[in-house]
Amino acid sequence: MKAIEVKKLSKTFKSKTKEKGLKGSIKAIFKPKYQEKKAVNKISFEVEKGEILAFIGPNGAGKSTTIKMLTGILFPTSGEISVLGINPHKERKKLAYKIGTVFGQKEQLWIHLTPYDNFKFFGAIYDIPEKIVERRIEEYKQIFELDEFINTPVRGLSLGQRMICEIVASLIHEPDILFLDEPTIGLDPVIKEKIRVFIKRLNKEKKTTIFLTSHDVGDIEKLCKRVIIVNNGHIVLDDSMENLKYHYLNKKIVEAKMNTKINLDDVDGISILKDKDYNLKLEVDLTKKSISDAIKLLDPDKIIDINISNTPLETIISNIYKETKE
Amino acid sequence: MLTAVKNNFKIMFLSIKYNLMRCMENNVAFMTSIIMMIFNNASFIIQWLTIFALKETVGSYTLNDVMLFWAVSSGSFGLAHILFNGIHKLPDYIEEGKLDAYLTMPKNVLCYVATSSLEPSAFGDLIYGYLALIIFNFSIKNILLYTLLIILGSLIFTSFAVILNSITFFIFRFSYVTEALKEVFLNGCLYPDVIFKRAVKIIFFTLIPSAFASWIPVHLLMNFSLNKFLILIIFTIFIIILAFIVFYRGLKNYSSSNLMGIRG
Amino acid sequence: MKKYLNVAKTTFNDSIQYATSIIFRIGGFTITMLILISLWNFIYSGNDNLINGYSLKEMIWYLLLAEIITFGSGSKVATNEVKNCIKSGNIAYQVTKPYSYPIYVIFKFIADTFIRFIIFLLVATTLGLIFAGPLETFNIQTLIISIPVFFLAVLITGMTRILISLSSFWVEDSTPFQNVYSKIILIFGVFFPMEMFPSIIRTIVRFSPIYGVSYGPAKLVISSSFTLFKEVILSQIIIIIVISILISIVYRKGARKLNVNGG
Repeated sequence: MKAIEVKKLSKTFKSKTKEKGLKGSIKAIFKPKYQEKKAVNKISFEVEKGEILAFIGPNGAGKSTTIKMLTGILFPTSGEISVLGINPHKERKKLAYKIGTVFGQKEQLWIHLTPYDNFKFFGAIYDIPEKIVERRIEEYKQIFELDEFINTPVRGLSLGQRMICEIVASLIHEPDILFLDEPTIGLDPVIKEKIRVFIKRLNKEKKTTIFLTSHDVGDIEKLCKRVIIVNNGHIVLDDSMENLKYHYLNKKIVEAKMNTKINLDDVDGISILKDKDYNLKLEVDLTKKSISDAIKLLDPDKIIDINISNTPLETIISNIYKETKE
Repeated sequence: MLTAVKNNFKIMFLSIKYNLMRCMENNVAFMTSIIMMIFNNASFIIQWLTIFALKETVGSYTLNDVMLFWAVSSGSFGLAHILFNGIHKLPDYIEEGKLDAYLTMPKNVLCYVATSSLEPSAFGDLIYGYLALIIFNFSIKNILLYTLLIILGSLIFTSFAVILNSITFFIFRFSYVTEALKEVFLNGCLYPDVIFKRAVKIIFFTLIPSAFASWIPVHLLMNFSLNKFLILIIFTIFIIILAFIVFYRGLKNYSSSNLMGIRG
Repeated sequence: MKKYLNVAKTTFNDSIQYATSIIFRIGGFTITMLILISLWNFIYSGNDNLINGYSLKEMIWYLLLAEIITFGSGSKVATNEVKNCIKSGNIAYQVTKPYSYPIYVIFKFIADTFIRFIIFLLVATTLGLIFAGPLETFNIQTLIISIPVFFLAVLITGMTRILISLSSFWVEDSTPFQNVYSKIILIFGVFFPMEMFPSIIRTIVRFSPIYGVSYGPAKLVISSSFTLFKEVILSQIIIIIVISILISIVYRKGARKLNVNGG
């Protein structure tokens, strides 16, 4: 059994449109006109158990809508969903026991209670016996070094500490799948790293399937083995991280500082991105030319400094967004 | 099935307990709001003292009888806002998309939402209700019956509010109308039935069921009748079921056509 | 051009929002009044025509007229705005400005109240004509002498509200005190004219602001008496002088407290 199976899933939103002015408002009351927007359009994908999947896309691409359908908050317009063999919108409660959700900026904790009391509350929500809850809290306390703030009311915690508590609260019932919607938004690098390490560990030790959306390339690069990119309600890429990098990383960037000005022209496989004074920036297509070809072209004797790098993942992703726009 | 119900009650109980802890964080503000509410309610005794100085009885009611309307209404309202204040925040939850978090929990959404909030000043209403009963109509039997009746009253008022607030699932910014109708419901409870004309009475027995939350309970306290009591129980069960039906119908709308589609 | 259209659109939306809230406030006012009218109808049924000198018609008009002063002056300018200004500490900037903050708030209050008051006046008049019928004694002279009396009544309400809001310099929240004030006016001024009370309470009401804020104006319209006009105006002026002095003392003390604490 797969963790998640989605077939031709679509979601169409209807919104009322109104003509301008008072006349339009009155018209809209008696004869409302609807505008249809396809937020998610016939997407199909599968997630294996134990996978860490990044589900990414620009704002409004349909990420949240998809997550909401997978967790049973929204009904799909058409298509089929099976999460752990359960149909989310038919058996929402049954599914709820098996999944955990963290919605980035929507807090689920009681802010006047301590994390400890919150965890116990969530334990009760999932009908877990007290003893087991306490054992799990103890376990998470070790992993996340919760000691220093487990007895401070949530309102007194930093943003990062709160997010850690949100995640722990959503794991108290040891779900098979964890849905994380923007878990590291607005956090400092140290906390981000801590959360990433923990997610990785969770996946490794408890075989928890992770379904992650994020705008943070660091999250995706460091955590995920597979990426699905959505744009305008469509899946535009569903591939492993390695393939993504390989496919788009067959280009290298060569930046060089020269001691004299040299004049270069584009050759097949090497294009000049920047040529300003003594600084040069070249893009080398490795399928056609090698790095040494590029260095020879520059004349190695005249090079003061050289830097060879990959195209950053961020650029790759934003290029995919741009290419698939409309 | 039975364990599920039990577990739901456990969550409701815990939520109410935690809300109460939040109120008590600021003791001075908590006590002030309670005392102010008691004074606020008590000031209406002057209204009725003055009326009874002008006229010996209102219908067949004496001052003590009229105070029963106050006792029952403020007790029911107080209890409703202590136990189920979250219902009055439902329009905000719907419009701000906060309902999502409740939907990912394996518990009854309506029960969980209802107990998610508590209004501190409601304790003033509840205390005033008992005070009014003890001062004007004391007897052990009355206190026991009153306690039962305000539980029913709070359930009726809450169900009425659930039905009204569920309309927000279909019509945005409906909360203005809801607030106005709740005000009518309250006024219907606070004034004795005899002052209203027939047509108005019919409305209070049907569309705005103040009669069941206040008039019938008052009659039961004055003169217990098993028939009336059974009618009240049946109506309470009926309106609770109706509230669940309307709420879940609305929730379906939230999940399918979805008001916040634009938000993505 | 687009910029100006946006401004127009925002303003239009604001006024729609404002209109909606006014409509529902009118709804609330109407319902409250209808229930109180039912109550008086019932009290008068099977009774003599007059209770303490008031006919049912006069009683309903009294109720409506006294209530519009409360409802019509329910502007947040004198209550929440002043409270928030003090609580947020913004008052410190007001102190340094070359005008008196209390006077500034009073003018803002009057401007904010004007339209609202006219709307409630129209609603109340309509309700009165439907449920009580026209007052026979009412004429042009009554109308003319009523205008300054109602204006001063609203002014006193606003000033009292500001005075109560100034307590925010010392107490955590002034709202409960505003509610107490509303309740006192409602019970001793709006629900009943002072003739309905025992003599002690009647005397207290006669020499309290309630006389100038609700009893005086409402009774003036019903009785059309020029003698009453002189009495009401005189007490209103005295009340205004007293409240002005109180506001200036309290504000000065509050501002000084602010300076001592360094804002």
